[in-house]
Amino acid sequence: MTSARDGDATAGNLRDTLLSLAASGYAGRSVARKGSTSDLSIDEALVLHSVGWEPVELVCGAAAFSIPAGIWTWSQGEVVAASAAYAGAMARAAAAIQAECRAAGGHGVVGVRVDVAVERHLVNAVLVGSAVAPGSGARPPAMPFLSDLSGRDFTLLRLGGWDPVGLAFGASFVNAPRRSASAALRQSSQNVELTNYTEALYAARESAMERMQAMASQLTGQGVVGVQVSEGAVPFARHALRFAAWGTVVKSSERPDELGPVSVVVPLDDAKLAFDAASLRGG
Amino acid sequence: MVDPGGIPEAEGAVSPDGYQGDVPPEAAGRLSSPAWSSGLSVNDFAACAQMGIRPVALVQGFCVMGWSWYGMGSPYLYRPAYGGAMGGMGGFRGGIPGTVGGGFGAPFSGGYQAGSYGGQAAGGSYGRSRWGSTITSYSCPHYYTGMDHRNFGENFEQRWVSDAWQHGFSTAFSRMMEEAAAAGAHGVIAVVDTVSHLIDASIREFHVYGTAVVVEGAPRPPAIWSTYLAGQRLAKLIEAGFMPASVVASMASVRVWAVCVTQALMAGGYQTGGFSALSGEITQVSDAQMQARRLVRDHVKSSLGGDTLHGAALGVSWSDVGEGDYQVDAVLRGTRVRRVREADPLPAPTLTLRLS
Amino acid sequence: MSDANLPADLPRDAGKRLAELKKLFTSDLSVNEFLLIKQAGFHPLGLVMGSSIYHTGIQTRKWSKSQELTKLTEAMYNARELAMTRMEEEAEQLDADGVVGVRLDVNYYEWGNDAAEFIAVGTAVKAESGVSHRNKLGKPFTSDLSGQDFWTLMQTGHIPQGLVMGTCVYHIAHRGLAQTLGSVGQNVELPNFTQALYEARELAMTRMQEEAERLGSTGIVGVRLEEKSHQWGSHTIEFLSIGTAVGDTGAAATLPQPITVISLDN
Repeated sequence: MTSARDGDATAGNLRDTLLSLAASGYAGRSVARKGSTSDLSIDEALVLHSVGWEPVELVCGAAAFSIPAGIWTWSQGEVVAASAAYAGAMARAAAAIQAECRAAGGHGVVGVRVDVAVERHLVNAVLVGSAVAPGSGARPPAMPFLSDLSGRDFTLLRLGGWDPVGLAFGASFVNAPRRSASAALRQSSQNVELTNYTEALYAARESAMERMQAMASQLTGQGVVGVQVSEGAVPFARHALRFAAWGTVVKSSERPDELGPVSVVVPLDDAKLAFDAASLRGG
Repeated sequence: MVDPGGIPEAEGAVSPDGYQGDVPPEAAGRLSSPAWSSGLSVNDFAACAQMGIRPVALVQGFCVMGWSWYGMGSPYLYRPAYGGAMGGMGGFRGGIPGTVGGGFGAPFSGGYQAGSYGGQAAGGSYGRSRWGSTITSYSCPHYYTGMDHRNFGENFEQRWVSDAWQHGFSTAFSRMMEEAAAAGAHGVIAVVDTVSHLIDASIREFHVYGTAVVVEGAPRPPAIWSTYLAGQRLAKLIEAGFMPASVVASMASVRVWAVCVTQALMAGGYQTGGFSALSGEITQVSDAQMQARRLVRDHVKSSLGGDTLHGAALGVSWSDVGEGDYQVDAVLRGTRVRRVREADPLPAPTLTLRLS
Repeated sequence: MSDANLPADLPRDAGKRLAELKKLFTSDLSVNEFLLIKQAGFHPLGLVMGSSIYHTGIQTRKWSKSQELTKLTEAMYNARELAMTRMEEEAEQLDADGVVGVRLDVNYYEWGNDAAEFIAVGTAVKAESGVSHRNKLGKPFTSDLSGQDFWTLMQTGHIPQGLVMGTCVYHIAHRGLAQTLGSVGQNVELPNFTQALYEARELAMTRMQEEAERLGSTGIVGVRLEEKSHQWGSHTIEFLSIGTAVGDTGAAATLPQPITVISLDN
């Protein structure tokens, strides 16, 4: 979505706003409800406002699950305790952020940032986002939705006739297979596929995605959009690999598709980088 | 009890006309010169011109705090006694990290309000007898235990940490606002605040800087407003019907004194007296993570006075401090904004696809 | 679909996962791409992927001769083909018309000397109209086009046929002492390097075009040229040329007249 604005009209508006504010001594309207917090940018807040939704509160959920000692030794197959700890921590964190959203009166949380830290003896999952609610004052649902979509993507999906239902996630931790010395020697002289490696890693990836899908089905969604996949070696046990996938579960709503046809645009300016004031400090 | 640190009382708000002599003489020279510097990019500068805002100076404030955990006057000099009640913090000594080179001026300016901690008045003493408070306690489920078994644990809000952080931040911020007042500003935009180690971990430097601006043709406001935003984002905020009032930042620090179960889980589980703790949720740590974030949000909300915190940035760090103990520090920053006009209805967005 | 129908080289978990995709779709498309794909008349079925861990390390080479290392070329090509084929097999299981947004990645792990993992991931899509949009070989098409590019391509009356690639692993001769001393201090063309790089790139692009011809396509869009040394040291480079082969749908071009815009936002 682009917005081209008439420069002069904007200037007039803003100057007048500031002047009239200054004249009234910067008094604001009396606000009936207690203060709220939100981490949405003004663009996101405006886009949500255009469909009648407002941010309600900054909410978070965090949980830590322990990993027993001795499971990071280089053995065979999946590191089940780590996968279980990851799943447990994410589930508890999701429940906690939903509870905060409900307490704040929100209908759901958008822009959820997912942060999972895997350490030797614990998995720490943190979810932070902004609870939002429609301005119409409708009653919030018992199970508020969670979604890692930005305010803008949430609005677009709603206009397209889809509703977010929740966040689905799945992870699997697997040990890299070990080759026997003779196998290593044999394979090192050929350019060939290492089938046992392929099987182990391919299976682990599929398993992580499958767990995400299972969660999505449980949430009775129709699909998962914006799936993000994260993979890599576990930093303190580099023979173990971690595959994780998460995304927003959506369901189509009864609302009609309000998105019109797409028009094509050729911009005549070059891409600019947004200014970051902290860069002045060389950061 | 006499506090050797000697934190001075706040002297009240700084008005735009006043210039409290807390700022070095070099700054006075720079601020009274007709040429101005600013931290604005070209885009932001253009957006300001559109809004009728003129930059007048780049303003900044510093505060260097001694950050000592151990040594004379530190609360960490005595560990809590195992098995004893910790509610009254009987084993703890007093002491608040001191300000390096005391005798500075008013820590608060007109536009800023400190987070309130219960009965503590803004600008008043930092509650020298209030190190913090217990948030939740945990007790040991075992029956037969040994001498060094931790049969009691708690999550503790370390108020001396957040008080010290608040002091550092608000001092640096108020010095920046003094410079802005000296430059005759109406507001400060594009505020950047950093906390960094200076020389070593026992010294923290708080640095807050921003661009002081003047609204063309408008009278001086009763208090200088400030915001982290600048340029287009500030323009959109104002057009949406909000007015920035002040930069708000707060910190909360939660310490986990681990109970035996937590200690065991953090070490990967062990067997004791026939009872094993192998895996599962580490409730104390989960609670601490939630509590730190909730506390910092509550601190900030209590200073909003019904206004909204816009563009909140939550930064959290945590660390294992040994033997199952844990610490979570959370900082929340944002701009306090006030709704001054109903928002205009926005047209439904049209979809476009860029061909480039 | 039961495990009995699953091709032997796909893991069992894949079978289970693909079966579930009958009731639920997954996609790693952004919301923008998702909505555009639907506007183009397709809906996403699910994420499909293929992977292969390949050992590629050995080919003897002459230090002073510039030559293609054909065994390594074959190995790199086979490894990617294996990954792509498995991804296509997963798409077949879903009865898809094609796969969009394919990402081809290479991962290295410390525990695998000279072994690299080749992964192909994309989102399988199917036409809402039910008309088959598979390529001329009757297989689901593959393409690395984003959702936006896919929509734009469809508007011009073309459809992807398949992801085509050509690869060439080339060893560049080290220069002898005499040669090096001879050109020291001069700004002069180094003919053996020029020749080597020219030949390598031409080989890669020719092979890519041959693949496109086999698919019966009219052209290739979005060609990318990548050069990587992988783990072989700096004188051995793999030149990879990759693009999406396209064919005519026979439908008229419906691309609307673009509007020119100067954006006033950051």
